[in-house]
Amino acid sequence: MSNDKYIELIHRELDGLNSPRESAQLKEYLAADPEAQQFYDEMLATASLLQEVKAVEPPAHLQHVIMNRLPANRYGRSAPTRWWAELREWLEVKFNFKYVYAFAGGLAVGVALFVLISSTPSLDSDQLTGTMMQRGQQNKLKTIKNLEINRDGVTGKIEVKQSAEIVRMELTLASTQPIELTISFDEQQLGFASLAMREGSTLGEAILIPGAAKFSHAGPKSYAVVLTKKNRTASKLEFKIARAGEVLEEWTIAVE
Amino acid sequence: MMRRGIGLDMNVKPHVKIKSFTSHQLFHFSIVIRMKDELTALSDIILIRQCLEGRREAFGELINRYQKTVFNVAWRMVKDYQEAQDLTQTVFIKAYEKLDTFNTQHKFFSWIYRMAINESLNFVKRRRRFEAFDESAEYAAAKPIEEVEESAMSRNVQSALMHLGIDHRALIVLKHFEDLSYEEIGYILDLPEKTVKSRLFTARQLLKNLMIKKGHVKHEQRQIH
Repeated sequence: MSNDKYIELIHRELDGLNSPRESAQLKEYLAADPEAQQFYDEMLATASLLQEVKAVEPPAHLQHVIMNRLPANRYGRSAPTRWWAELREWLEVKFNFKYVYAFAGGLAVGVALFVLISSTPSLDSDQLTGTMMQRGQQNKLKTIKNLEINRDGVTGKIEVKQSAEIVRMELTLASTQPIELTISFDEQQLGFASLAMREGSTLGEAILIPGAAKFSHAGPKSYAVVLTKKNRTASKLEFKIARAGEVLEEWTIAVE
Repeated sequence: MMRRGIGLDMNVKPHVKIKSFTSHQLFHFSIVIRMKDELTALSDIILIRQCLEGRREAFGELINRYQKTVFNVAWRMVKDYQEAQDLTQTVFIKAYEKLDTFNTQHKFFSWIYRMAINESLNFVKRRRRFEAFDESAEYAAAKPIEEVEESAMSRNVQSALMHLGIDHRALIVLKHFEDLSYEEIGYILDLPEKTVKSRLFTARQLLKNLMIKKGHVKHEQRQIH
């Protein structure tokens, strides 16, 4: 047999690499060539014998011996590396990594939101602004009047500030019994913008009507009321504090 | 055929048996399998990384996976049980020392095979040089094959194998005992795939002739028309 092509096909057949078409082609060739068939049979018998040879078991102690012969401290690691590596190994074994990534992603989003929210300054007496008040306007505010009350169990003060665009009233009032504060203004000149409570403070009731805002409360309260100026003309604000229908104090101030 | 284990070793037996699985159970089941033996469940690459980070026991798992393979390659190449043990030790110690040079583009088992074959070839060449034996003398000098519990057929094959040249022997070992592809053999022996094929064909035919000569394969004088 001298056909190199078929010798290669025989070897490929032994290795299981022939396609069905190649196997059929080889079979046909072998059927027509007894010498080639004999060669193939002997090769197949040899390969079959090789396949029957079982692997030999190494000595049981071999792994132990090798481990004892390994050089010590060949590969070290710093404490942070070790800590991180151990964490990774633990995560790899205990969890599928995709869950770890999902958890880490969620944690990162949570931290980012927390930082975003916590970076928003909380209200204090100097920072009392309406929720609709643009930041920066407060820097332009100037105090135009300080009103004080200390009468029949009602104490406190009202600081009125204004800028070119707004009027802001910061109120700190305390009363043993319920009182009603009414702020009246010319609706053509001023408009209610916002109300902001100091942290921890609540109002009993707030009523907005055209040209006036009424607040009812008892105990210590601290809050701010913001009005916007609709035009540049002068106007006035009226404050009235009453208790059970009895007016305790009234003020009228001018704003420009 | 020996198992070439990489990736997850699913031979690990679980603690629990579940007759019918939901996907949820299956997930937990897989965790149980992983927790059974974390090292066994890790891939070669992860074990290598752990080893380089200083975890020696990770290399112990690599030895556990491949010691039988390396030992058998050495045994088939040198046919000396004690030398096969020494060669296996040498291979793993060298692998450990060179682990930081391991190219992860290759498979670890190919790399360790390569070292096993090279160490075996060097050993045979050294033995031949120092003892001034030819290959048949080398065979004769080896320790009695009866030291290893093998069937008569295995011993016959091994005897015939030892009469092949070491290059041809290596090809037979890698192809027929380790079931490697031409490409993998090419990497291990540093030969082009085409050369692997042609040398393997030659090696097989030589072995076949040896087996016939020793009467292990029947040769009929057929009528040639």
